[in-house]
Amino acid sequence: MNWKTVRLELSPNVSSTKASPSRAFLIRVPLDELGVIDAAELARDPLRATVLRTWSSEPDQFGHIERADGHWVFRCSRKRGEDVYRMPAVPLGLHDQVTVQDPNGATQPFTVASIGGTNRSSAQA
Amino acid sequence: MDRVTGASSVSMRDSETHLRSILATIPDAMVVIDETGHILSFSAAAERMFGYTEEEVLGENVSMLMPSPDRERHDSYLENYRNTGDRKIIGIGRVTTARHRDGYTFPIELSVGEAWLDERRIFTGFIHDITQRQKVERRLQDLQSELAHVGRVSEMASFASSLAHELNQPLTAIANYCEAARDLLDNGSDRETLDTVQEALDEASKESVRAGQIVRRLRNFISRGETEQRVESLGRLITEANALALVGSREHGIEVQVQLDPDADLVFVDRIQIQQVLTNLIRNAIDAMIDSSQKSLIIRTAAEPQDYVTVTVEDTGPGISESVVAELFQPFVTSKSAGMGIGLSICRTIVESHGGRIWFEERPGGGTAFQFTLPSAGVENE
Repeated sequence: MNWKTVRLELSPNVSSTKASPSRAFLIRVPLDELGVIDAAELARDPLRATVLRTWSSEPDQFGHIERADGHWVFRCSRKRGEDVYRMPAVPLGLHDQVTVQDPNGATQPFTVASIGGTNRSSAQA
Repeated sequence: MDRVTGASSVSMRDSETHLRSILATIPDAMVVIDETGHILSFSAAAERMFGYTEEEVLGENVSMLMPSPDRERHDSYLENYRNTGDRKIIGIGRVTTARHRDGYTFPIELSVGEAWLDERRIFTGFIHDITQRQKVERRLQDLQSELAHVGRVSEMASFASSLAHELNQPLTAIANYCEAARDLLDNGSDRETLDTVQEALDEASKESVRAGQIVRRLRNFISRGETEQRVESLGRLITEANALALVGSREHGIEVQVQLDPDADLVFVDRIQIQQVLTNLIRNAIDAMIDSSQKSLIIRTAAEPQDYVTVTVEDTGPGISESVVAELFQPFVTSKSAGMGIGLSICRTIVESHGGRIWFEERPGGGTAFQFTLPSAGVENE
């Protein structure tokens, strides 16, 4: 199946006019030919759908991706508890913009900075 | 005067061009930051090494190039240096781990220099990717291990033979004395017989002490290698061991999480030996997850009561086969087709020689958590 690692980087927004690669999510998900996350494939191997949140000066957060209320939910573990981010189920094409809702309910724009095969780009070791 | 100033300016421009051409060709990455950690310059080699362009990272916090725990601690490292002048890395250098834009981590050798430009302090980091060097060193180590294995097997065979010979004598004597005592008791229990039985049991006891001495001598012989135990930073040992153990594992797509308890940082250990234990456990964890769909490696430390710390290396592999569970820490027991089965027995020997213990637990969701304890050396006062 077409498992990919998608890198989402913070786009310019109201608080910064500059894109920031220092705030990123690396998500490992199965994509169909339109770039949409394949829910059926993900349900077959849910533990494989992972997220790594890398924000400078903050601890790396790891977690899993789930489907909920028509959104994709990133459950990122932190030292105590977890942070939950929500992304709409939209196609993920290179340079596309997606909005991600943070745990406080605020939304921020992210850009699809890269889409890689799982054998290379997803490698986090 | 103007002519002098103009010549000087041209000369400076030439020097700068020259310097830039040198920096563009050296394979080591160079990253310049200000004293708060924000990137001022990012060389062409750094662009290749980390996958970002200079334009993208200028002004960003350099911690974006690091995995946890350095990522969240780097600001405080700089603050600590600004406040105390205490050098932990500047002018010293160290092996550590960096994170590529694609998410994977790789081992680096980092050297940092400090300079003042007018009133501004800057730090220049030279970063050498040691992935290839470590691969070559590991291959050499493997070859040496294979060669040494042949020697060790023959050495151990002769050693086992002489040990068997030495132990056989007291054991035979003990058996003889015990049999004699039993025969004597079968024939009666008068005073004289009981005295003789007493003598036989005394002799059996002496022989068992002698057997114990032989075993102790053997232990001393095996562990006579000198160890250098001192106060070390467990976080640093883990960072270095992790960097080295993960070489060659990039293609497997393993997520690595390092969770360090600040109260469990200082330990009293032999650095090389504990890094051997860590490397061994991490490599085992990676090998165990090669065919798993979920590949998550967690290395965690925790402070324990009674001046101990616990280190956990947890994987999401298939777990340990029941056939080897009972003897897992015994030498020559392995579930790997190409393994010699001495890694975990060496780990146990090292951990126990530090006064700790090592064990494993099955993870509830699958996988295995190896844990070991080490003596704590307290908490560093900031």
